Amino acid sequence: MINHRGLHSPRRGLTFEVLRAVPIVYLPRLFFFCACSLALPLLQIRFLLLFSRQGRVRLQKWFTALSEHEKKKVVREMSLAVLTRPPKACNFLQWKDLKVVYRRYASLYFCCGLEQRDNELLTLEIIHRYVELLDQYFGNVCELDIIFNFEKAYFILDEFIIGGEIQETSKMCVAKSMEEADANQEVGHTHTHTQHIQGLSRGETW
Amino acid sequence: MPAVSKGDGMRGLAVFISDIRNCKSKEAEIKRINKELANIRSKFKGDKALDGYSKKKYVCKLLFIFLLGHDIDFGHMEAVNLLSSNKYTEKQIGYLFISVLVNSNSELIRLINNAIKNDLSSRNPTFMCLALHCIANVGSREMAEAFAGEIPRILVAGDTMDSVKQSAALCLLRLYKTSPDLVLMGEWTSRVVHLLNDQHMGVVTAAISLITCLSQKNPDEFKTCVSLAVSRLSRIVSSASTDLQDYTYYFVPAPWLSCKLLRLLQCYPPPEDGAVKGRLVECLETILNKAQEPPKSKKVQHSNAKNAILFEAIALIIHYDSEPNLLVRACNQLGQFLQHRETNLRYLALESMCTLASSEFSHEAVKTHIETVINALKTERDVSVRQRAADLLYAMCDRSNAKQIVAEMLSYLETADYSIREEMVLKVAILAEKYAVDYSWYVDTILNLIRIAGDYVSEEVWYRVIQIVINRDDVQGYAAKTVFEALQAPACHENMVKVGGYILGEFGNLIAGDPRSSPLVQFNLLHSKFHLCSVPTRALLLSAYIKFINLFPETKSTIQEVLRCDSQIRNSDVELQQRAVEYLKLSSIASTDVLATVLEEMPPFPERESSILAKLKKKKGPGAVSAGELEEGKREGGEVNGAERPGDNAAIAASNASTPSPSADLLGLRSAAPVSAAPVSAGSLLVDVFSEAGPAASTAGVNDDGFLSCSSALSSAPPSVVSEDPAPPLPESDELLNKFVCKNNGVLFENQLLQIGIKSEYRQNLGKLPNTLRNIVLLIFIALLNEILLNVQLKPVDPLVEGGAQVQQVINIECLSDFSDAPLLNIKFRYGGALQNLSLKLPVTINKFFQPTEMSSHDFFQRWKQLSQPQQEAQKIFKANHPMDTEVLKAKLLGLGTALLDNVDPNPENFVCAGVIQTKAQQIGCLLRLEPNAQAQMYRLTLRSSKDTVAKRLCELLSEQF
Repeated sequence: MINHRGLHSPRRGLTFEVLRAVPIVYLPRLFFFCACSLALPLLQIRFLLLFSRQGRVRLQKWFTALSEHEKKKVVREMSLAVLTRPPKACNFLQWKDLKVVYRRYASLYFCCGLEQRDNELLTLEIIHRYVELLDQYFGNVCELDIIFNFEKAYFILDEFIIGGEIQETSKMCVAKSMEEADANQEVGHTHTHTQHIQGLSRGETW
Repeated sequence: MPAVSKGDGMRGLAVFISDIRNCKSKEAEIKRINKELANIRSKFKGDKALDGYSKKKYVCKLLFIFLLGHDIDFGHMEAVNLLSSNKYTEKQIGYLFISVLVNSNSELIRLINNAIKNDLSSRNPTFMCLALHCIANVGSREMAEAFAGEIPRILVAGDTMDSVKQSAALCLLRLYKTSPDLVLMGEWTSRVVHLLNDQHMGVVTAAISLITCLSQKNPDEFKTCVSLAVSRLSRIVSSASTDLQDYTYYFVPAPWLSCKLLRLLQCYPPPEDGAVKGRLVECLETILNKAQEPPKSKKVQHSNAKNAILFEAIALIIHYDSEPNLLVRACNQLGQFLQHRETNLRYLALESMCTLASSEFSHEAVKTHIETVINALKTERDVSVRQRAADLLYAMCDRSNAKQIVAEMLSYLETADYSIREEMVLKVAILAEKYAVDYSWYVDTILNLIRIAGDYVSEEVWYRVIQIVINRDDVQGYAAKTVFEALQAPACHENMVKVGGYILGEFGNLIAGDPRSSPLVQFNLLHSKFHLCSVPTRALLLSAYIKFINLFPETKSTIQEVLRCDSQIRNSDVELQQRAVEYLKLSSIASTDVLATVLEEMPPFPERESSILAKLKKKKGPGAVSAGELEEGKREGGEVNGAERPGDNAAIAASNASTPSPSADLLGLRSAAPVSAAPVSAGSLLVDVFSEAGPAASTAGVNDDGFLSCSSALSSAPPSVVSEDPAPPLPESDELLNKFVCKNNGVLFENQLLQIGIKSEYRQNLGKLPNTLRNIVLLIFIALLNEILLNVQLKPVDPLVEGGAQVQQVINIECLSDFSDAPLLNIKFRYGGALQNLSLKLPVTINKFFQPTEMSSHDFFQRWKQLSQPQQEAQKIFKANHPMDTEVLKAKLLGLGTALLDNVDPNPENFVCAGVIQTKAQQIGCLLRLEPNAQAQMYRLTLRSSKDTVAKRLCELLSEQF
């Protein structure tokens, strides 16, 4: 007996022959479902991004090692995914193998990438607590504060989160650290604001 | 007007940022940046030594430029210099620059590490924190090497400030994640665990992350953390909302710490200590109760924090999967959330329910929400939520609701978002296959799938439907009919044409009786789609056409006409052209017999469910190959796979020969035959087995010229080859054998290296044999999945067989007298330098020699009575292993080789069969009666035979079949 395989020369990898060569099938895609129960139970944020409505990145913090090229790719693709979400949609989305938790404060999007099994609601509140910390430091923070004092925004973040894990949830403790840092500053300063984020500290999302 | 910064105003920086913001175009921005870079470079290179402030300012500008997305290739040295500044802000900017722009320059790393070392030993807590943050941010191996020993000491030292402890704990965690081998906790373990009792909540929050990670790797060493965590959790859960001061977040006490504690507990099984467990269950109940209390604040932060804890508690309950009460409560709580007005909560409820659905305690409870979930799939406005609803439907699906769920998913597919269609298609296909009770439903579902979302039906899906149709003869006619109807649609998807072409080409004859689907109608229907299809589909259709010529000789002239026309035979695509030419020639030259052989129905596909792939993945460990890679490995031959062969061989190694010899690969056949003879034949030459004079000849004899030549091939082989012991048969070979009792063709065995297919035919008038004897011709196909060295003894083939090739062996078997043990097939070959030895039982059982005997009811009972001696009857009552489907039963009994007698048994539910076993020595009549009891799912099987051993053996064989 000769079946189709016998009939055709081997170089024709077509149609009937292909069937036999293909092992089954759908499984790789299913890992997504079972991955839920296998992931490590750690609350680790992979990255935190702040970007404007126009997709300009205002702050980026990576808690896992990625090349610059990969980082740029993530920023580009993920900000697009978030910016195209309709209003009033939920604050979570599945993006590749990551869970993305985002929230918009005035003109700024705060956006976290999480492991598959992380706690989304809690991450939402990490974002909010960070906004509160910024607000406490700058006093009614706005996007321009973060642009012009980007280094401060990073310092505050370092006091709050290390290596993707939350270090200190108390506002007072973080404030104390920042004050100590500023204590030996010699220069006096004036503080002017343009384009304030309205009601940032009150947590109104839009 | 630029905003001036708080703290240390760096006026120059503010001006620069403001300039950049005022740039009207990308070009202007780049120009401004280049100007600034030139300026900074000249300052750094200048003769005048820069003061700390200027250095800080320029480093900060460089950082800003880098964060804008431009490359920075200098300034690292200046940043490192800043690290040793005494001014905090200068040091801080230096560290920030280093953290953001890590440079692998070893010279720099040494300098950086030096600066960090100084700061760590400075006893200045703010400096120490900066250094620790930097280590955590960079987290490189070099840093782990330098500091992994120092940081635990800082962490547990009594005089360390709380803020430093916090940084140290998380810094250590980061190092542990990058280089676990360098972080040795050993002596520190218990002191680290006791950080859970620390007064300072911040310290506990930070330490618990470290403990969670460590206890995953060494659960035993950290076991004491369970009771500490439970008591800490209990204190938090029962505290009033104001007790914890600044750690209360919108009236929720310490939400982050609570969640982390619950996470830590998920690393362990439920506590064994009754008191601890009781306390924990109490906590979980309190958390569930709190969800029902009215909110203390209308702020979304309050409910988020509260629900974050609730979801984490539910995750723990699911993890324990041992408290039915809590599981059901959790499920009810999630059920409430399913209809919550907050989209976030609906999303999370759907997500959590997915995991609940897999618990046996809560699966039923989850199923009660099916209507809500279906509704969510239809009405949710957010695609993320709809996707979760689809996931949940998939997870809650079982036999009872499969039809409803598949129908809903199919109807959702018509409007589904493009982004999730492919996944939906896969899910529907999997569910349809997994829960198909009758395969006509499966075929309907998949064809619907192709109709609705043809573009998203990947190749695997339509391959699979064809595999299933080919393997299940009960559905072939239906499939042909349905696909024929589906193709009537004026516009149908190309995938439908592919399925249609394949199925009609194979099974078009099953519906050809109906004049509405006569052969010519079928052909015209297929051909009407031809011109709209892509090249691969056209090639498939051409193959279907040549199969038509075989199935329906009346279509021959029409099809030859089509093949002969210029658009086929001169097609610019070489593949199509070649097929057209070859098929045309084949159809005109070959005789009908040859045509029938060449174009025979496809043999069944091997049942390669997930198990093979899964097994493979497990074996290869992490970084497992995907299906695609596996394929590639096969095609490339042994190279890649060869390297990892030793591990993979485990499955075969069980039967590996103990004395490997350099060229001793052979395909041998040995009769396992009489057990008593086994010790004798074990070490004997294979030639013995084949020669009629051999001791085993009483069971399986050799009688064909082909065999004579094969024994001569054997004798020419070096003696050492033949004297090797064949391996004992695989443990599962009996099971494999059972698959073939009622079946003649199929795949006998398969592993990663080779696949053995069997096709047996029964011929009566073979050669010089008297025509009363039934002979079996076994065609053995050995499809090689990998390149192996094979030296076949039955019929010599190339010593090197390429991957993907097929080797055929024909074995003639004559039954000399009745037997109970199947002959052994012993295959030896060399792969990747290792000798493989594989023994399988050939699917030759006594029933293969049945000749069906038709007889009337009267005759049957007369003979039945004649065989009334107790030893002539064998009876067995057994439980049904498969669904009791009358058609399937009939097919199996026919496959057995006997005649199925209608209208014999007064009870129409029963089956009676009759047949004569033809052996050389005698003819053995057999009568069979099978009485199914559908209520009890039991069968009673009675066999009567003129020879007692035969009745017994048949009874044994058959009791495994139903």
